[in-house]
Amino acid sequence: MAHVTGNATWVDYPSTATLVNAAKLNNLETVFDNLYTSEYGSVTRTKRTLFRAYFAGSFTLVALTDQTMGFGWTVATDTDSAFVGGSISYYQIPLSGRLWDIFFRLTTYQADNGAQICTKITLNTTSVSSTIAADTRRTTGGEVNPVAYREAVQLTAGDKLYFVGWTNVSGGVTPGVIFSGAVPEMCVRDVGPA
Amino acid sequence: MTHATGNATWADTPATSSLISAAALEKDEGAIDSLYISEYGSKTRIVRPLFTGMITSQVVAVTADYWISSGVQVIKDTDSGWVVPGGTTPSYYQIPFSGRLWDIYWRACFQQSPAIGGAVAAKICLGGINVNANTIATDSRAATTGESYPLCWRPGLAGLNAGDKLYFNAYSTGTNNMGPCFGWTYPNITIRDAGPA
Repeated sequence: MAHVTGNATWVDYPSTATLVNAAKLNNLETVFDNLYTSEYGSVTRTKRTLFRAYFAGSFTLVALTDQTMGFGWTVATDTDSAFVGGSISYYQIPLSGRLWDIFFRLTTYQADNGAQICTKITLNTTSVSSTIAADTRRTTGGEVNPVAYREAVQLTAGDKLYFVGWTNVSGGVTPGVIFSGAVPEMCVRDVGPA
Repeated sequence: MTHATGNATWADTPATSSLISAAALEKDEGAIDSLYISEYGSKTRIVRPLFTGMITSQVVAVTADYWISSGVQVIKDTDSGWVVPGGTTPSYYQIPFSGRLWDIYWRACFQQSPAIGGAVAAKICLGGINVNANTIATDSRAATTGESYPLCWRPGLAGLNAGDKLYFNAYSTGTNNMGPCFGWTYPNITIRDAGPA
């Protein structure tokens, strides 16, 4: 039987019939290396890259304005310290050669019915002309939660992801915590080799 | 070159310059242990926890808040985490162990939705069935009078611990039927381990 390593079934050692040679042992090492590289992105990592942040309070999304997310996001997980918070916040992709799930949701609850609330994720600029994921929802007179989500996007180390909201509700809306535990949220995660 | 194990490149043995030492073999073991713990949660598991279930035949009239109870066909439940108390008592998924991240997903399927101006919604609640106090995931869709699929999910959610219970809610501003739509589009729940916290 050949193993993933390419090695034949082992016999007890010491043995004159089989050698514990460098080739076999290095085959084992290569299998570990390949697994770690495929699953985590390198032989020195022990988990995949993951970033998740949420907004614990609320903020104003100004009407008729592409508004890039800024201060106030709580980082729950950031394996690679890649989130840069500021007046304009962004997530910087830490590894090349990988595929990424990207996710941005706003949770809102307000009285308007029949307008729109949108979320977008833009690449390397805050301009919505560089959008790579988007969603829009019609307001309901209650909760409205647009989710910009895209699976398995190939990105490069250094790429910056910005998170942008928009609404045409007169006077704007107030994304924040609704129903006690539903929150505005961003998530970027490595989902495997490109 | 250093491998994932931490070992240097091996040389043939027997050799005086390179030993098949216990330390080197333990590093190999350690690399395997780490992979299992990272991927599956422990050295004794061979698959991540996954629950997925669908409502394939039951059609219920949803008025205001409705809690999923019976009627879920379990497709996969690696850890027997789906609990059905019976009757109209809400069913729940019980998180099997701590220290992991979880993707939680629940999509309701409405065969018809309320008149324009209304809405349908879906929620996942943690530890109780009070939507105002226990909701951790929610979605809402404006009414179309036709089909509607509110889908609430959260990726890579931290902070769930062994024994935590997740409940699944559907809501409609009027009385509307929830169940399979267009043949094989089913209300469905998926809870899956998304890796180490």
